[in-house]
Amino acid sequence: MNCADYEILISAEIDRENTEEQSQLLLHHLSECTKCKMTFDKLLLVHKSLCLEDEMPEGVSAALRERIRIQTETKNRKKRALINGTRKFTALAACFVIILGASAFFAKLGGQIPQRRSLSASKSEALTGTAFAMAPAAGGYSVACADAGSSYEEYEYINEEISESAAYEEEVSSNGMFFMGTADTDSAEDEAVKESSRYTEVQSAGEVLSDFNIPKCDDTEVIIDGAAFCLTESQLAVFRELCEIKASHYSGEVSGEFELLFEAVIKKADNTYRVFFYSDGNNIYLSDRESFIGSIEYHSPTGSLEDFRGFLGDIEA
Amino acid sequence: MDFNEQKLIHRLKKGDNAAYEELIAMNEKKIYNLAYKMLGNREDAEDALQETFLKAFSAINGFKGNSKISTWLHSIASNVCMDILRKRHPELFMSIDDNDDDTRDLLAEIPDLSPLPEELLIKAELRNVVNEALQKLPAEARDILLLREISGLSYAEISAAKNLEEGTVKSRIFRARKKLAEILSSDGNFFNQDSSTVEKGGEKL
Repeated sequence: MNCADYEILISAEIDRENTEEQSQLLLHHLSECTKCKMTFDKLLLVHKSLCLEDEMPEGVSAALRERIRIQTETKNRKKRALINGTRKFTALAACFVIILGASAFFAKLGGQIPQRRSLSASKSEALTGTAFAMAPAAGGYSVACADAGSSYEEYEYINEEISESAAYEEEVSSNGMFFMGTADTDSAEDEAVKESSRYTEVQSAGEVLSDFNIPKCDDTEVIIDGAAFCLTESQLAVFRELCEIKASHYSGEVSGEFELLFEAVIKKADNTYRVFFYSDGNNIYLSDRESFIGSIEYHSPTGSLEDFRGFLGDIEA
Repeated sequence: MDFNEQKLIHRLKKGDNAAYEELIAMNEKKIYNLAYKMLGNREDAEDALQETFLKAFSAINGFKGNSKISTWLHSIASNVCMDILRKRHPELFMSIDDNDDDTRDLLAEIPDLSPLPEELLIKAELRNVVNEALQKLPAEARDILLLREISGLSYAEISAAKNLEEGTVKSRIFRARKKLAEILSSDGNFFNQDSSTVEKGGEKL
């Protein structure tokens, strides 16, 4: 090694990125080479001088928080405009619509409801994506997610819906689907809710899959309101067509009343697409729940859900 | 990733305002410092600071937890600053050629090191000297050096954030440091202070 090689080691030494062996080698070299020792001193001084912290000027911190606050409020206003629409329904009615919407949709896709799986899975299972699990943690339970983003939201949504309607399970099963597992956060209050819940706490995805004799999904997985579906390529193509944002992009302020028809998550390889379908009676809107990402042109002559079901029925054609 | 960080991320994803505040409080000073040193003026640094957190909060649901959240945040800040620089100072984007064989040993031309007394080092003027020198570094060299020095990212983390080999990160950080030393030397008397030992700063090899 020559001095040029040692110079790089000097820089890495300052960053504590050298191996023990490299450090020893460098130390030995520095004890013998004045030029490299000087280089070390100079680079160390540059390093120290960079570590001098600049004070944040007064007001910067407050301005940052104000900007975040405004942004959050704007976002929440848009979200409320969407969510409020769903509040018009009772929870039961909402579930009814969701199930009908989903089942009618899938009935047209494949003639019958496709294969389904539970959302819940154990942390130890080699399932990815929407799997979530409960794990004992200090003060209660924590939720461990293979795909934290979608799973948590999924959980929040599902939990909200099922806790408001005791008839949900019945509705779900009457449509040939099942619902397994609830998850709680780590508060004592949540723990009490969990204990009084009629829903089974699922410890293992394998347990669920074997109990219901459901094979693991090798195809693309689509989740609608907590029930996961394995779609074949041809079914997926139709579904994608529905989700494709080829219709007009929404712009402008969100207003009016919207009903959540159903939500869907498409998982393929490393990509997860999450779409919420809303209707104002005239059009179906696709949303990521925070903002509109597009809409499907659909005009309802009567503004009724019957029209919407008819529309779903036309998709395959 | 520890449990507390997982919980924080969960709360952020739920849109918990207190979690936003927690994340800001933990990171705003360092992000501001990174931005100020990257951009060289307070207005731009403030813009970059706000932009970083806005971007982070709007993209938090996509955060997969492959790195610490602070590392992720600093990567966003770095990209925000680079975008600002790209718009305002395209001339700073000269390529960094790792094979650039600058055989002239400029470090050797820097006068004998007489390290700064600590009390002198902390003077605001010196900070300014260093910050001004930083502005003369090519943007990418500045970026990678500050991710190490200010953000405290490891070579592996920088390598992941910038999609570079670790060996490249290592040599680029060295080159950036060396270049900065040269600039500081040619600009004035940074290395000419009257003092005796480099160990005064507290770090010995």
